[in-house]
Amino acid sequence: MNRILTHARASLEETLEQVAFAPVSVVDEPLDWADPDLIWAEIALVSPLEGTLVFGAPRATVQPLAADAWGGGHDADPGAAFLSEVANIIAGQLLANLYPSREPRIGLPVFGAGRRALASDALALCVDVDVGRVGLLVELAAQAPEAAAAGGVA
Amino acid sequence: MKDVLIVDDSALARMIMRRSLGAAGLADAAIREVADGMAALDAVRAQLPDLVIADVNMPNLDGEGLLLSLRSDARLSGVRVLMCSSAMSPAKAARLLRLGAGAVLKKPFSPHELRSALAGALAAA
Repeated sequence: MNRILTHARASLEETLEQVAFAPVSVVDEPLDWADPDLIWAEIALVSPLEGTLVFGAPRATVQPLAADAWGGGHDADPGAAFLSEVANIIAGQLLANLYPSREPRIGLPVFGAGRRALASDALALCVDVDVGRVGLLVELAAQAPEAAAAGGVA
Repeated sequence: MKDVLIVDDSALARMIMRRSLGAAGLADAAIREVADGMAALDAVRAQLPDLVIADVNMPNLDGEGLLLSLRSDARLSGVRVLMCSSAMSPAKAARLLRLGAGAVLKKPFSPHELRSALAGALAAA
């Protein structure tokens, strides 16, 4: 596993455990990003690493995770808010941990539903939680000069 | 009773902070919530809180902009501020403290980390 995915995995584990109280374990198979029942949030990695981070899962998996995170009592779209907040935390942590001496900058989360087209060189991570599988993608900008130094594109 | 203003564009993050404040000893605080720095300035002007807890990465006016706005307004400059973010490098934390944040907190946070940050922020003049 390269350096970017190693940091992403650590952040995903910590975040899901603290936000949704969900222990996770990494699995070898990737999440099916062509699944029409997926919901996901993506967030731009602005600096020092340019690209996009995507956090998603089938809606049926997100719902119980979001319910645990919220503790009930949310009448809007708890899944979207859950995915967006987790993506936001992981993106910020990923950049801060990869480049501790530089200032991380990220965008604002954008929510999406349905199949998610992938960049051919996307870095993918899939983990089991007790209610299903969730996936994380890191798509590096082709011109990102830091990409090779940060671990290389898979 | 403490008056606490939570500023975060994520409704889930606001709820987690609200829940965490209860566990960190501020269960009886009067808590207000807004979703960005502009709304926070309006809320602070309407009623000075004992503490502002602000995310850094927000639309309209971000957390650093909010902090600068508070510190540049004589009437608001004494408001205590705790800044939180997932993208918190040591350099960024140092800058926020220099700009007048009482404490900084990295997301996700443990109850112990929140308690420590609250103590620092509330002790700051």
